[in-house]
Amino acid sequence: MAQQDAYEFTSRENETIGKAATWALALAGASFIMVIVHLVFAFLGTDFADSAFSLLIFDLGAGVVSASCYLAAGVLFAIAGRALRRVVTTEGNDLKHMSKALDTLHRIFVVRIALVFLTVMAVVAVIVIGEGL
Amino acid sequence: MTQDTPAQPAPGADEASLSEGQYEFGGDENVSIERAGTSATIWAVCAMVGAALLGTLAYVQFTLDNLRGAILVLPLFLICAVAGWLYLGAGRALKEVATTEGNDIELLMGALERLAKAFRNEVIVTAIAVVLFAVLAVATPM
Repeated sequence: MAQQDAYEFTSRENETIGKAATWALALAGASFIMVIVHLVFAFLGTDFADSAFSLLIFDLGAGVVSASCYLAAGVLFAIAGRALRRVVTTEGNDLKHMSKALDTLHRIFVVRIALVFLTVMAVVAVIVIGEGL
Repeated sequence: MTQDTPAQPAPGADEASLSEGQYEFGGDENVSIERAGTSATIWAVCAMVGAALLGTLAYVQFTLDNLRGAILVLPLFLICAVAGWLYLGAGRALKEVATTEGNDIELLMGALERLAKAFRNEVIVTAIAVVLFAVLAVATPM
């Protein structure tokens, strides 16, 4: 038999955890919507007829990269939300599920920080391409 | 199944580390909590720097009489500013769980409350931003 965790959260604590789980899952949904928004903007916002090839690749690439980061964040938020939900709905492994949720949250923030760096690099690339044209 | 009973030590639990409603997180758990707290704080700082840059960009657009550009940047500024502020608090609270002793569960619940608040506000601000983008895209064609 698997060893159980040393602590079981109380009903009041479960209420707080449940709230965090609900909003994490809602944010997963919002992230998936942002994936669609970024893809739509990438394809509709690009002027295929008059743009230089390098700018065309850049416009589409930026949209696809942003959409990919939102997709990763959405999946991770769903995993974190489900782990938090499991803390509430199951008994015996509360701390294990909580640790998993916190590890996933760490990954979400790392993905977001990476998105910030990619954005900064993209802005620099736009300036360099703009100077070169 | 929802847990409705107060905190109970599981069979085989270390009695020394437990008291009524009290628990002190162990090494591995503290590592997970501190890591999440640190990355939340870094993300919050990134978001706040982004908000400052976007705010400057909006102001520059406004001074250049490009009101459409300024309004388009504002939702992004709002998302970054709100997220930065809320995640900064959540990150600090999570790090406090790992670095202090005696009230770990209480501190963790405080941190989770802040995170839930941050998630909720992010969902609301994202929804507002998407609607605003759509309205501006339709109302102010290039």
